[in-house]
Amino acid sequence: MKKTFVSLLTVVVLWHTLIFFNLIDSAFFPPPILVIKNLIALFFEDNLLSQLLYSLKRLLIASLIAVPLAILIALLTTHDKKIDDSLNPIIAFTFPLPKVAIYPLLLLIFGIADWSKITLISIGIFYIIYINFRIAIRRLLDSQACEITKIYKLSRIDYFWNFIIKGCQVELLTGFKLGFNYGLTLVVVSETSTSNNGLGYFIWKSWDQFKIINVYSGIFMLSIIGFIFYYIFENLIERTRHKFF
Amino acid sequence: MKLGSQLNIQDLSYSFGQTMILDQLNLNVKEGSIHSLIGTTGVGKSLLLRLVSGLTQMQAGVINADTENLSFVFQNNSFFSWLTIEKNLDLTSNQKTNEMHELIRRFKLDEYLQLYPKFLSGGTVQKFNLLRAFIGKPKLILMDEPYSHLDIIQREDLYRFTLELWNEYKPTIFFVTHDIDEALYLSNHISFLSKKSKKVAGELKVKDDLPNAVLDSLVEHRAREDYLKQFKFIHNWLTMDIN
Repeated sequence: MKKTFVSLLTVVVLWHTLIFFNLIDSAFFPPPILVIKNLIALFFEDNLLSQLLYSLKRLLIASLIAVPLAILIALLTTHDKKIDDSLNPIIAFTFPLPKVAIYPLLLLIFGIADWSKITLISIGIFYIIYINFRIAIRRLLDSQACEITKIYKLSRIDYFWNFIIKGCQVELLTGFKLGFNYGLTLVVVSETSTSNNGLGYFIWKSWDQFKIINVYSGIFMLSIIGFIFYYIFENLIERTRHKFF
Repeated sequence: MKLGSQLNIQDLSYSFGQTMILDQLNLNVKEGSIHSLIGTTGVGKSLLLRLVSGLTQMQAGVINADTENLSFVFQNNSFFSWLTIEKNLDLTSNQKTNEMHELIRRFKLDEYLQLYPKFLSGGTVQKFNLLRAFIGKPKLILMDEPYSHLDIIQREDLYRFTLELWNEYKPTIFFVTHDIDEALYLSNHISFLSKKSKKVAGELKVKDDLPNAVLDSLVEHRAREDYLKQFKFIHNWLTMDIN
């Protein structure tokens, strides 16, 4: 944590130094201190908090759809060859598609309201968690631990919870870490068009009104959220790894 | 009291592609006995255990075994590394938690229960592996070289531990090893799996039962050596045959 702040502080100092020596234009690159001040003002006095909550709500609903679905489908494809044969080619075919490319299609299907955005975010999160979890389950099924489940005839609940979920917890947490951060990217992308709320909308509107400092404040807000997600999951992963691996 | 079940194998064959590993193998393991299978590496000893346990699907032949009532001791640590030893044992004890805790208390293993497997020595992990195999009194226990990666002191300790557990209710133990001394010392019967013929090429009865005197003498290395000297000729014969 200490090292993280030192590296962030280095960037801030460097930024200010460049402005001080007129090497960059402060109109386009406002000093970070001003950006933070502006962010605090926007957060408490303007409606940045509510914009943030709109974005987080979309991310939360999308996650609630994507995570169980990814876990369920990974379980099915790794345990049933027929399901794997029929679903995996579809997943392999659609996975490389840039998710943003299908957004117009989703707008056609779900309209410009929230569901098109939530579906886009869900799809992005789904693939990342699904792929991570699938690899983890396959590794587990090839291990001797799996033979123990057969010899001692574990109940379905124990098999699912104590063998699969707990046995794959590092990969699942990695999936969450990557998935939620990618989800956040898709939240912003989906909000830049066809939205009148959310952080993406805020950043785009600020750009439209040429309020550069607000653009930076919005981006900074996003970075903070991304950093929190990353830090929480990174910590959980490290703790889990050191505990028993 | 013998609670073990018989294991009978008839005309068992298994091949990997064109390579025949087991060719019409026949074997009979008496109930309540400790039966060792000796053979060199790659001869198909572990495969045979996997076929008996159902972990590997049979290709040809018949195996008569109570597969619903068996347990398996693997060569390596087979505990879930993400669960404590207690949770691991709870999962596989099939509700026999009282029996499990009684065994743990008797062998003074309580102090390790809350630890994750990675914090235990190889010998202690294998002790728990063996203990787990006896919980619930399975009639047939399969062991795949359970002592092979341990040093001699840990092995001696685990031989005693195994025999004490076996002596409780005398289940049938079928274990594979490449250590002839180990097989001679622990078993009532020994079968030799030949690499050339890919079947059981020799079988011998070592002793009818394990007398208490043997159990007692297990702690003393000298007594063990004396005991093994009786079978020196078998040792020589088997060594010659394996080579």
